[in-house]
Amino acid sequence: MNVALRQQEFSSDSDPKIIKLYDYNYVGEMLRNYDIINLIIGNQSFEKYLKEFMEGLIFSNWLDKYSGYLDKQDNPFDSIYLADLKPDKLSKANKKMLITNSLKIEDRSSQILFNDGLDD
Amino acid sequence: MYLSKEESEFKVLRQGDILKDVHILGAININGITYGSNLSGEQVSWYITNKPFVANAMVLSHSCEIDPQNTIKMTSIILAPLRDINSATSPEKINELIQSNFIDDTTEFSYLKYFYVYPHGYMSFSDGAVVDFSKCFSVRNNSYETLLNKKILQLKPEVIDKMSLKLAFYFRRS
Repeated sequence: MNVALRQQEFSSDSDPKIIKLYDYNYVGEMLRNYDIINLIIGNQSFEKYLKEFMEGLIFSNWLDKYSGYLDKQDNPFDSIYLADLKPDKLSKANKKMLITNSLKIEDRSSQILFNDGLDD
Repeated sequence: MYLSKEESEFKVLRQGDILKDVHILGAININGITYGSNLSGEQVSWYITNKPFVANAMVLSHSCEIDPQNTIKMTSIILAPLRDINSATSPEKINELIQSNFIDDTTEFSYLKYFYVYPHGYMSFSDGAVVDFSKCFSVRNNSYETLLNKKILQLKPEVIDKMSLKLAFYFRRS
């Protein structure tokens, strides 16, 4: 399928729904004698907006770091609390069989391979 | 071998649970890993160019260790892939593998690396599969919910006992 971006031309003269704002040249001429950056940062409303934006950004990052992403908090190799440990239950029969019989059983695992890509 | 759907616990993971569509992270070729470094030469990322291997997997971790009620921190969940019995290169050995699947006092030989699971409508293995203990791997505990959503089957308690005993036998070798 051949897809291309298409630009549609509108004219405020021909379409009454389009409200014409300032022409680019007019704005440039209006601000020609001003330092645009100083005008922006000197604006109290903008300064307040910028302050809130930055505070939000910092708080959001702080939340992500300390509570949002468990990946960053979780360390599978960190310490365990020995006082909380409980012994695992062992079946006496299984334990006896494991100790006495394990080396007597012939392991034939090497006689089978699987052709699914996991074996070299 | 399996609990019915009504008997199965789908709000917790248990040892022996069978999961679907798990990215198998075991059996990775360590030489095929590409590491990314920062300007200081510190390795900060890694990737593998192979296609992810996605398959059914079994939970090998003890049920008590991965129980959400466990007061001790659950650190990881151990999994192993299921492999289609029909992809075996020695099909004549399959009956022998199945016959020696459960170990008891009379067992003289077995295929300790593999635990056979019967076919079930929830899996695509028409003749069953084996869990390959040698390809086990672990994932972090924050993968719990993701894995729980992939749970499709739960083994009966007596089968779990047989599976875990065979797993112990496999690692008991010298």
